Amino acid sequence: MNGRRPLFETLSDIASGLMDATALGPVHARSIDLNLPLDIRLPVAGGDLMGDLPLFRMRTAFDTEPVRLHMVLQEVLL
Amino acid sequence: MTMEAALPLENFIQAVQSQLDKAQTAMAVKARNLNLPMTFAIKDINLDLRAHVEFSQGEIRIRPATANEPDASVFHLVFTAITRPMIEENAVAFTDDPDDQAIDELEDDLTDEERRKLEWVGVRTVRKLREMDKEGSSRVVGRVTNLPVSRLRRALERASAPLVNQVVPVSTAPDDPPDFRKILRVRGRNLVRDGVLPRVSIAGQPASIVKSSEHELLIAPDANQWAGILQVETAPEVVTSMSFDLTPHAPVPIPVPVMEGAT
Repeated sequence: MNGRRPLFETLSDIASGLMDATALGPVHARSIDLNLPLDIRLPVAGGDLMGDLPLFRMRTAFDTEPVRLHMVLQEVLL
Repeated sequence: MTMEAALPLENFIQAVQSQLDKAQTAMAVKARNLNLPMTFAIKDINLDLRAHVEFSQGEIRIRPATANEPDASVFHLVFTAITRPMIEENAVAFTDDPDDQAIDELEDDLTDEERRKLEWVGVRTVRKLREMDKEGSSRVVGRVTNLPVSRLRRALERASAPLVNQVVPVSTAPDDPPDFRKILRVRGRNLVRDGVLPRVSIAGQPASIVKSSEHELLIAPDANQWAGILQVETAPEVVTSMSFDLTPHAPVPIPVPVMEGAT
């Protein structure tokens, strides 16, 4: 257990936080553009693709390079 | 972090797609639970992944690069949300017929790598391979995939062998006359070869075929053919057989009226 989250949890947590922040205020966000570094770990035996924000600012030579993720979220009617 | 094992590139892409689907669902569920009229939907996602590319067993595999590996390849993956009509318009129809055999069923004759090579050239079903063989394209497929034509043909021959899965009586309607001939339904595959009717026998006696298709035969058995060994021969020495016993469904013999004065 390394405490790292599957990619979908990270993405939905970020989006969910943004939804909470913009749902009730007078200013309404209609689209969000994010550019994030992500530590990913390849899925093993049909499991989830792990993808979470990097734990440390400094990386050792053994750490994999973070993936750069650019995501555009757009508001849609349910 | 320990060195990660390599993963087939297509599995990685599928894993990302699966994560995006799950994230989208989670956001919609949350918005519904909070009675929000709107939610955010993922419109575009770009991923820049530095990885090493390996090619083994006919597969492209990737292994994420570590910080001291500056010569790794860079994958720039762009995902975008598309609508259902766009999916339907662009999706490749892998197989229209649910009874069609996937090329994976040739696993006894062809290795994983050989089957993957066939998929590369668009041969995903046994039917497609058969069509190409009839069109005389086997040599081209063999040359592109490095598979000997004789092995392809042998695999095809085995996959084209008839097979009976099920023998069941066809239920009759209540208003059918009592002397209505009862029918047997034989289900399987490759029951008709090249459009030629097969030879069917039950308990060693020929049986009449009422209707035939590749996956189904309708047989009109005689009264003594409701049990025994069913044999379907689609070509000389290409036979499949199945033992069955449907005696309880056999028609009750209708007594023949005796004419007065008859001897």
